[in-house]
Amino acid sequence: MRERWREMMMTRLTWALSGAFVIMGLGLMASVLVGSWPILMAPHSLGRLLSPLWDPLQGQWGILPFIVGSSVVTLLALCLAVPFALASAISVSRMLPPVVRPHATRVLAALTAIPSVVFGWWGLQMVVPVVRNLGGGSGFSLLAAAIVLAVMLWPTLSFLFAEALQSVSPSYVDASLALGATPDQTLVRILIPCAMPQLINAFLVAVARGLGETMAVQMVIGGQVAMPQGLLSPGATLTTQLLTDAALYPPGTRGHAALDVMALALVAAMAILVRISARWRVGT
Amino acid sequence: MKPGIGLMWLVARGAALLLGSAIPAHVSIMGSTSVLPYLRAASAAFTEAHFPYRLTLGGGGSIAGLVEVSRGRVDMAVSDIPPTADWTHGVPLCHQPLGRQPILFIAHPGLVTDLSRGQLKNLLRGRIDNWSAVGGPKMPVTVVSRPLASGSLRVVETQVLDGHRVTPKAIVMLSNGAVMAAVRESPGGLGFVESGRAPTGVTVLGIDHRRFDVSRPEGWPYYAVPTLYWRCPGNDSIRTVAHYLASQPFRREFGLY
Repeated sequence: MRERWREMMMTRLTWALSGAFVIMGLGLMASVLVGSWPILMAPHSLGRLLSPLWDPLQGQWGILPFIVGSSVVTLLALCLAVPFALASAISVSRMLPPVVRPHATRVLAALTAIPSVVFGWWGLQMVVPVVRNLGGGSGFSLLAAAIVLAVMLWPTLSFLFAEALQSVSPSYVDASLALGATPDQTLVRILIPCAMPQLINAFLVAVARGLGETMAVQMVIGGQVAMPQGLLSPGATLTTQLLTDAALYPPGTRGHAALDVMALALVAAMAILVRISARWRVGT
Repeated sequence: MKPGIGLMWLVARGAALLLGSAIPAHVSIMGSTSVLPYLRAASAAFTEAHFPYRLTLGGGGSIAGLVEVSRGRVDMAVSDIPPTADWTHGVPLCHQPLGRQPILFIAHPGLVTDLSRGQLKNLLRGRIDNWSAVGGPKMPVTVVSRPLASGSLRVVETQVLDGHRVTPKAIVMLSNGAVMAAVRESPGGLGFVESGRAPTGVTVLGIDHRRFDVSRPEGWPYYAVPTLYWRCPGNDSIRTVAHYLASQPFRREFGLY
């Protein structure tokens, strides 16, 4: 009797906590949506939002430079990080001696826990001067932000890629090798195709982390609100601009609504990523 | 004391600590980052002399400070610009100026040493984008500015740019110190900082043949007036802290004249 009562309480507690989580998430989305409503419902709002002019004190709400900044920095960071991360993951999961593998995995897990401000600080000291020397200008740029983000994503991606590769049944690998395939052929034709859904999920997690990263990027991107003219040009992302201008506008003002639109754009991007990720998970 | 009563006292004390109401001697200050070095030094001296008073300091910029103090989230704001109804929602704020703090225009070493106000205005607005146009080497200008929430940016836009905006191509740095570092390290860098001492590693520009001189600060025309704000009338703790911070003679060492 007592056991049943305890079980029932546990079930109710679990439901209550899950419900609170859902309500909190929905509440967050609702507050962002309600906050952005005055701008979304204004005449010609889409055209004004997608203009390249951000000057909220003059009524210019164009967030296109920040959408471009977020997209370019994230894509470039992933292009730089994925090959290195995949190589690290293959080494950790397949090439290192079995005795060393758990230790290497632990090192990767530890690297994922480094706070982003440390990467930003490192970027300020190392990456910005290098970009300045190579490309001229101030060095604060989309390229510097992408390099810092790539280095930041590398351990996370490596860790997730390694987990994905390790999830493939060893019997597949053994069978491939027994049939005369070389280790390279086994990797390319068996291991990677079998782990593909998890690899893609890992990639999407990295995209989400890249899009959402704020502090490290803010420290090296330059915060320029004009449309970036190239990779060596300073710029801003949706998250960095939210950070920069968050202090300026109290809730209820037009400027706050503009920042809510940026937050909404980020939430929408994340929702799309989760949707794509769920599709791949179904495929596993 | 019985253990039960002692426990209840501890719980009540803990709850009061969490709510913050049991410590009237705790005063939180937020706002302009340019006077934070002075406030840090002064609050340490104040805490030592007025136990058990406790001051907590935070940056965020002048406007953030005004917004937060009017909403009751901090006890005091420090701001370079006067409050407007947009930020305070009409909440009446009392004020106490801390002094005058020079705004210095700084450039990367080896560019120019003097500019006219007109040249400075055109450089900051992005109408002149190469130092060769103002007698310097052939090098693109990199303007380093502050976020819109910064009081020093507002002062520059009012006193130098006649209400116009700094070029949108400017690099935006979140603090006074970050502006200084960016100008020092960026060839072609031009920026502005609130500082009562000549910063090292950069050229402090003379404007219209006037130079900032620590021994004669009154000769320099560009100043911000960092001011403490609190919700009127404020309690004794707040007024005591405000009076103390606005009257310390060592303010000059931190560039407050």
